[in-house]
Amino acid sequence: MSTATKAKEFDASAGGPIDPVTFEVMRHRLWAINDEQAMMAARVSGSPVVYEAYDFNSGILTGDGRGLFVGVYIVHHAVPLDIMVRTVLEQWELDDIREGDMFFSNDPWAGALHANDGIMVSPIFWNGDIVAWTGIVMHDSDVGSPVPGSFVVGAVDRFGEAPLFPPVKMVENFAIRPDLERAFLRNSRTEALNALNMRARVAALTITHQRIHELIEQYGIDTFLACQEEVIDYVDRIVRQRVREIPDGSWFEQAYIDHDGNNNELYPMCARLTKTGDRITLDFTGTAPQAPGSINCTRAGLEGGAFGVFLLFLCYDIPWSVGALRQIVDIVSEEGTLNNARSPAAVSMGSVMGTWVTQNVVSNVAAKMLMSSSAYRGEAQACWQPSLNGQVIAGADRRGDPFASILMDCCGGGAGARTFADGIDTGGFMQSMSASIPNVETTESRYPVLQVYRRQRCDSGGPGRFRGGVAVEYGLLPHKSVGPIADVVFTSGASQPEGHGLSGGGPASLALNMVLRSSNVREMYAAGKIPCSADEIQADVREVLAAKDQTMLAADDCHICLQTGGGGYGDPLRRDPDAVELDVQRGLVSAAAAKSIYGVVVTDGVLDADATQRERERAIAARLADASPVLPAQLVERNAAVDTDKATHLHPVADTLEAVHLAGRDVVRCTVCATTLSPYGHDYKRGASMRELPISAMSPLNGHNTLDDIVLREFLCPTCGTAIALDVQRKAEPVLDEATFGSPK
Amino acid sequence: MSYRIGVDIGGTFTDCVVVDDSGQRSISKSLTTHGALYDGVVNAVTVNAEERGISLTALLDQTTQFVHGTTVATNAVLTHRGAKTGLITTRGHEDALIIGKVFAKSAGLDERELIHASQLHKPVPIVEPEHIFGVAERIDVEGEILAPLDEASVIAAIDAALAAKLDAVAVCLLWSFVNNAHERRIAELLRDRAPDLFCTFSHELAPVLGEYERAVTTVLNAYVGPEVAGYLRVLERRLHDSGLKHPLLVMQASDGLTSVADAARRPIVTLDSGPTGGILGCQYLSDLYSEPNMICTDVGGTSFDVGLITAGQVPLEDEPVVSQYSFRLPKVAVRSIGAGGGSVGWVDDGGILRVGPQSAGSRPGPACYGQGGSEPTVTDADVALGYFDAETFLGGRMQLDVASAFAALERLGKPLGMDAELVAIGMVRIINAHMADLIRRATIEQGNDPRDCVLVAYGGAGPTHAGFYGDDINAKGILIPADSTVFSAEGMLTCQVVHSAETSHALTSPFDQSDYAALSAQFKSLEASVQDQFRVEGTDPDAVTLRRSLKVRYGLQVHTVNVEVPSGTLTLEHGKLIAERFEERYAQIFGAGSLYQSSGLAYEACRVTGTLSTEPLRFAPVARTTEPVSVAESGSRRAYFERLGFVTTPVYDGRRLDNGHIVNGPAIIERMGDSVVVPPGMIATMDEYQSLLLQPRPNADLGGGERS
Repeated sequence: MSTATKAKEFDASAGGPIDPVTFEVMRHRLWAINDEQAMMAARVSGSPVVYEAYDFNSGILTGDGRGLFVGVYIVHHAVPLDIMVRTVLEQWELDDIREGDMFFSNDPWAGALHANDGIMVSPIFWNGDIVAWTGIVMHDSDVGSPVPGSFVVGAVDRFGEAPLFPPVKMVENFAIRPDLERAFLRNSRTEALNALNMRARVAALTITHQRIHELIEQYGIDTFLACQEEVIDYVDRIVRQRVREIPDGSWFEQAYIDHDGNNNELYPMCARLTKTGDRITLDFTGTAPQAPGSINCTRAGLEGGAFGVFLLFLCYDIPWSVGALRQIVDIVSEEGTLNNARSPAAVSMGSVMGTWVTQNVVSNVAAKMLMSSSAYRGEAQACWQPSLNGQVIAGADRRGDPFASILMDCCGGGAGARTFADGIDTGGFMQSMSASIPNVETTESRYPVLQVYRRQRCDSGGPGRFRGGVAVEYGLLPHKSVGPIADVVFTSGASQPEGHGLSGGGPASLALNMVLRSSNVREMYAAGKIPCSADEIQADVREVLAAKDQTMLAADDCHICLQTGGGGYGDPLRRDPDAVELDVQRGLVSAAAAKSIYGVVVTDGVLDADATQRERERAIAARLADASPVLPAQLVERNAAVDTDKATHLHPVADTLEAVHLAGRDVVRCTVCATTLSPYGHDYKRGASMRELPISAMSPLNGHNTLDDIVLREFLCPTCGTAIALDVQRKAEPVLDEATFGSPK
Repeated sequence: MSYRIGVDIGGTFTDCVVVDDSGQRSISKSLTTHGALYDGVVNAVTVNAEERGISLTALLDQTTQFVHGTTVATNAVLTHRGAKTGLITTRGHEDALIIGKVFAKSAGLDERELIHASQLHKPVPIVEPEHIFGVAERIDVEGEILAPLDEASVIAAIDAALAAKLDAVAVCLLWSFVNNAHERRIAELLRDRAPDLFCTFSHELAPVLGEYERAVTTVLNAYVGPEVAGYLRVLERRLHDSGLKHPLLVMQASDGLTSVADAARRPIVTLDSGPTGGILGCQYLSDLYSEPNMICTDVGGTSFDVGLITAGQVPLEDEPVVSQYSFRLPKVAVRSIGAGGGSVGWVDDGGILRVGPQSAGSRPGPACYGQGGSEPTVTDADVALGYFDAETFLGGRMQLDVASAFAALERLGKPLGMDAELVAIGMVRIINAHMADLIRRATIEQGNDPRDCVLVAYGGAGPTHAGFYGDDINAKGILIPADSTVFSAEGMLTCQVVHSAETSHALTSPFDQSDYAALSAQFKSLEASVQDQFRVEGTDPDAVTLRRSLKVRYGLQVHTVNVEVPSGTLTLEHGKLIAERFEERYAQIFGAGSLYQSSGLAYEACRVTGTLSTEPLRFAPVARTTEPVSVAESGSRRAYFERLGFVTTPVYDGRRLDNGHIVNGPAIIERMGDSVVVPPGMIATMDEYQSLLLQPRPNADLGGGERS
């Protein structure tokens, strides 16, 4: 960066120049202030959901509502703060917005993810002008609706869900308006807790108001305004530079949400990312219309899910400025769809369904883009924990007192594989690096249950050259409860694997909720035996629950709950056999899966190298025998002559694909055998061979709840049989697009 | 004559402070001898004895208290070179340590690290997964045995541990803090079959709820055990061989000293004890100066540590984190960032000047050390701004290479269009601001307002920067102790022998008389166990002061607050007192609007702390001087201050300053091993303990020096 350019940029900024040292000092201070307000809010709240799951976040925005900083907690929450600020600026005359006002809403059409996530924003004034906004979002445990917890399984539209509060001026002159607060609290089953959360938001925003005033007093308003502009310019500058370095192209990803809360229907969500120069367009065309159930999210949820990914993938060392990202990333989405729902769609599970799956497809499509950049492919990660398998239990504890809560073990999924390493086993989900699962002892002290076992589940991570992280599985048994326990579950990815891999890596296994009716766990205990998996437990009936379902647990009914792992990266047949051997020894991959998926023979825990060699050769041969070209041969443009020496490497494409300049043209080819798959501007998947597999081929756990017409489509280099892509699809659907390079025509 | 000796081991130097019974202090430093740390300890004491003109034997012979802070445990964990350790745990829950509540990938990381998702990882294993052995047994929340201990599975685990040639074994079963029968039986079996293994049991070490943190605590103890125990025994023997008559005392990371025998059994108490001496030293100063609220800041080569004194007390952290491992043993609360003299300046992708958290360390160190370091560090910037002098740095022990410092700064400045001096100004402003930001955060966490606090600055670079970051946070005053570079060692001498015991004891309101009877019994049992610890060490239990505290929270909430509890038998009346004290402290920490009375109270854990009253340390006050401050003025040099630019700045010889001297800023006071910078608008006053107090000059203008 030359100083001449810099000086010019400073001249263009609104508040006058800011030198780079003052900028660095103020940037750090503002970031710290934003983190402090989030922590302050969480501390005042003290609620287990807010504090242990870190289900909150904060942001600082410019006076006109552009996002400057987003905190490090649940990122989906804070991204749409700008929607809330813009809504307030539209709905109030400027004269009616005063110092000490705080605006509150839980309306998903005004920036909330769902009705539980109450947003509060506050203007910061200086000499009569709004010079910044600050905002806090926190999850309230219950905000009404027919279902405790307000995730409404069974709703068809929002009138069956918790009441919504459009933006109201909840606070005037830093004091809560008691009438409005009472109106908001009236509908909740957790009134006192929500009141405390409301105070937490006010306390945090009040402190932030002071802190920012101190900052302005210290540095002057011109410098403060200049710093805001420079935060956006600085992030804009770095992200644009990074984007510019990535080859132009277009990438595609599709996933489904299974079960709308009423029926086990599949709802596709599609994302096409087109990158030209220093701009990105994210197009959700092809996504299903909004569902007649509470899995939808609004545009706020879509933006939370989508921008969150770019913050993580492209802003890993710079401030999380949504205002800057909005200058670079355009979103194309039709209203009335699954992740851009129109009122009165049901949206109460939006945060864990529509928003979450938006994140899944955007992270994979963005990862595909990053894989093609030699500079940034290290940031590409396959899908992290693709769904939240939530279990809510309610009943009477051993003293007869009522209890009802979600088990936060649902934060125990696996992280997506990286291009240089496995995903983190039980690494959690992507939208918050701070989430945690409770100790078993904490759960057993709060609720009348035993967690009979809780472990990392073998074969739950997506297979690949680098494996996706495995997920938590536990067995839960009522223990000294008064009467049976009501048991409600909600997840997606129970009928089709949702945590997709990259570059031929496989998806993570299905989420599972299964009840072992009248189990023999207590008999085993009496005999001094401790079960460590469902297989070791005998039961009258093994009842697999639907993705969204409810049941009752009698004293000996053991609920098995499996979270979802991360997606894999690269062809599993190319995984280092020593790594597979270690996985088998550590119970992360079964010996059977090692052989059938990785082609690695591990006998009695020890690698058999010769047998592995033979098994891998056999597996490749079987692939090539089973597969057929995606397009008829005459339609594929290939270079007949393969002359590896004369090729010039342009950029990587995937784990075993690269773009090269060869014989006068740019093509995508296999790095294993040098076969050309397609011209540069064509989709290489069309030059591949394909075979279809049942979803059980990627995990022995994929045996429950499955839909007949879901298949895995494995795409192979037609010559050497290396897997280059793997899609989860309905059989009747056409082959999905993968990637094309160059500017779109 | 009798002496007290404090020795603290740092990365580069081993520091030694000797205080005699007249309160006279002498300090010495010796290079740390990695690989044989006890050599460095003996060397440092020998140098000190020489300075006092007596022999090592004579000094040790007349020493009544020898206190030592060891980094052996910390280094073993940070470098992953502890004992080969196994874990015996409840079958079905073997993965708890590996799962790490999912959060282990982020534990203890700062935001900068947290947002770089692709680089995260779980903590480096301190127990290999194949050395985690599940045994069949199950106990529930009430302590009822649901599944009996299958001894065959225990024996198989022990045999496997022996076959794997493990050095140490940790035992942590579910609910063992409620019913320890199974852990005790495993202890018997281990004693029979593997008497030479270093073993740790969770019900003894950390009988508290939370199997993950309890397992980490137990495993860490086993992991550092053999090495720490071995080191301390060798050191104690060498000191005794050289004449020491009294037992060696060891600094704990919590709130005091302990015996070698205790530290050898529970070596984890020394883990991360580095900052404790300094903070307890501040607590002593808090008492000495009647300043109940203090901010303790230690600026070293690589890190900036902040601790607090609140109402005269040192806040403890219940769940400290080391190397991404969260454990459960209270420890003095410290916040750290990578900012210090060695922090490196660099230019980021957006063309912005940044400082740290990378550090040049002590080898090669800053460019000005002339040891081959070429990256510009904060120390280099301090040299360029005139805060350090090439000749007098570290009391003249190290000649600085000023040209290299300027060259490094100039290289960094080139792409920014800044010359070496501008870069130095920028780096120092940035690092000072980052330190101020950390102080704000640390004080908010305890509900303190920096304006009510005196800031104490120590460590090699603390006195140089404290005038700036202390002013930024509007501290009430900035106190720079006399021997700031060895302040941690000195602080250890102000500590007392402390033993404590804690256990989970869950009760929820409404409480009745039987709850308080049970609570009283629990406290009495903890008191007996603490007194036993003292008795074993040959201390008269009557000389021990016992304090009880109870961990309390609101029923539906997560924050706990430690409340002081009266001694004797507790009744419902005491319950009211506990509730009042809880709400008072809760409101102070979390804000007045945070009280949630309708959710009721829950008691979580009881803790008893026993403190052995020892003769308090006294520093000798010096008489007020009658000489003018000009006697200490040793010259002047060009130094930079914001709003003044580079100005000719008077330099004072700290050794010649005396009680009552007032130095007007801008000024630089050169002392043994550090350089106190007094910014313009401030005055530095030396008091009877030879501490310097920096405060705003009444009616200060910003003049004071000549413009260059």
